Amino acid sequence: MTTMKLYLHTAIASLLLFASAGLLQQMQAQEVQSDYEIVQNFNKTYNDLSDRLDKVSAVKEAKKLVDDVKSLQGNYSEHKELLNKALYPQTFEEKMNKLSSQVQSAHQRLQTIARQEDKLKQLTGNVNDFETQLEKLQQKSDSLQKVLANMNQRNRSLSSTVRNYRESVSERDRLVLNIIDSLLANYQQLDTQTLKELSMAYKQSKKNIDNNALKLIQTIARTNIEFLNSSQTLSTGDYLRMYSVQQKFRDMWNKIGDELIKIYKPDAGAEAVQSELQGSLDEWETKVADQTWKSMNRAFDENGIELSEFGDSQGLYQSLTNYVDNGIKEGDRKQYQNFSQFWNNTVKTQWAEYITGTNILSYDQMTNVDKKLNEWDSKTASSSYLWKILVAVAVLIIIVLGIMLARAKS
Amino acid sequence: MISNKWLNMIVGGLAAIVLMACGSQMTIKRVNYSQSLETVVQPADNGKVEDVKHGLTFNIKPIQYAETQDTSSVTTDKIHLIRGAKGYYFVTAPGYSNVYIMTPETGSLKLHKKVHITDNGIDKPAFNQRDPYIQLINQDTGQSYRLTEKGIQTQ
Repeated sequence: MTTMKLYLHTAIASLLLFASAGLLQQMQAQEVQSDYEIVQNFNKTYNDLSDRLDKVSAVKEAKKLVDDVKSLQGNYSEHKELLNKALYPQTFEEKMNKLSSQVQSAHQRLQTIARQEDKLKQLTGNVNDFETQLEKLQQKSDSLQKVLANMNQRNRSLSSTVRNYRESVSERDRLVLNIIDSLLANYQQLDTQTLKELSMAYKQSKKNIDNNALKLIQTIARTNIEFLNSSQTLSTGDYLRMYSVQQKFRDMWNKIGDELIKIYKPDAGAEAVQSELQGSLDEWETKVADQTWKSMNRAFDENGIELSEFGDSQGLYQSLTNYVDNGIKEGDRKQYQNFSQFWNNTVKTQWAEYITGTNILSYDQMTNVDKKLNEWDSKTASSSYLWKILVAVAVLIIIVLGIMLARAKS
Repeated sequence: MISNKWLNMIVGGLAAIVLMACGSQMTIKRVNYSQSLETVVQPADNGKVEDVKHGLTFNIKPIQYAETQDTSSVTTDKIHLIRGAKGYYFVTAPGYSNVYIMTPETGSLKLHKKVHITDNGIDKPAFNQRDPYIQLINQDTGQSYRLTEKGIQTQ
């Protein structure tokens, strides 16, 4: 038993001795290090961190990188002198300070991007809503358009489909006006820094964002051109409203177009997108203006007002003043009444909002037509009174002669 | 009387002789050749070792022969070398039992001393510059040796 115990103690003591010898050797190995290895390890870790810095794309990764750079600096500062020699002409401090400031700025940049991503999500959410609504209205007016294409003229004038079609077009225009307001509110007053940050945020999260305001604008311009190419005949009021929407859309683009390009297309292809959009807006304007002038010419004509044909604002004003001036000269009361009725009940009541809004006619020009119209009224009114007096005198003479004849008989 | 022209010529000639004499004997003392970090380099198949950073190229085969008595092919993939403060090169390789201290001469490296370290050789050797001596370490065991041009210095 005693012998057994002795063996056991000897074995334990040997094991402890062996373990402590191993530990001592390990400690010794740690104490004496190869300078070359130290430098190699430092360079390797430094290069790994630099590679991570190039690829860092999330705040969490950037934070970890900041910590790792601090650790590297802490771990190797005791070898500063050795590293200064090995890294010559750079120094350990210079190299670490450079990396440290790079990771710090990457961290800050990603933090900013993360903040702007929320704003971008909100903007994208709005765009998605608009896209959906626009698509629904487009589908509605497309299907109504197909129904109308299969109707004859007589059925059309009686059908509620025409009313629905016009209403859907009007609804779509209202939506476009809402989009314009929303885009102006969101993008008009962004400062340079925010634009830059939003652009970075967009670049960062590009994979997750299919829609953006720039694409929405392109869609609206394109669908309007398509609509004007295939639309059924609408009223002049409808065309004027569409013209007014187009003008507001162009104004909006002039105000925030540059900002949208900076955010959503900051690098290559920006010029191409800008010129493509400019081309679409020009085409949209040409088409809607053309339809509007044709429709206005037709409307005057259908109401018995034979204006000389016009194709722009100046031409319209010229035709109107010529027509009224001729009317004053000719003094035709009926012609006056017809024009006056159309001018007051249609032009000034139903069209005025769009006519003045799009500068087709200015307030001054409309006032001038009104003044001429008053002159026309006075002139035709005076000739009409004379005629009435003559009739009254003739009637009076007939009555007097009648009475005299009756008395003579009796 | 010696004319000024002759006087100038004599003084100039003497000055030239003194300067030439100085030039041929000029020696700059207390030069420190120490290389702060060892060079670890892989020899080419023909034994050529090139330390680009310090501008040194030589063939390892004579040293390998001294170590292994074999020059049929290069038997090591790493050469460790470092220059000490006095200008001697210390050369070894993994598995070598010796450190070779070489003196640079015109177009050659001459063996100054072969220092025996251990019979079994060191598998992971490394040199550190610890002016005025070179430290050789066994990275497996942590054992270190002080080397000078005279051999192993007792610590």
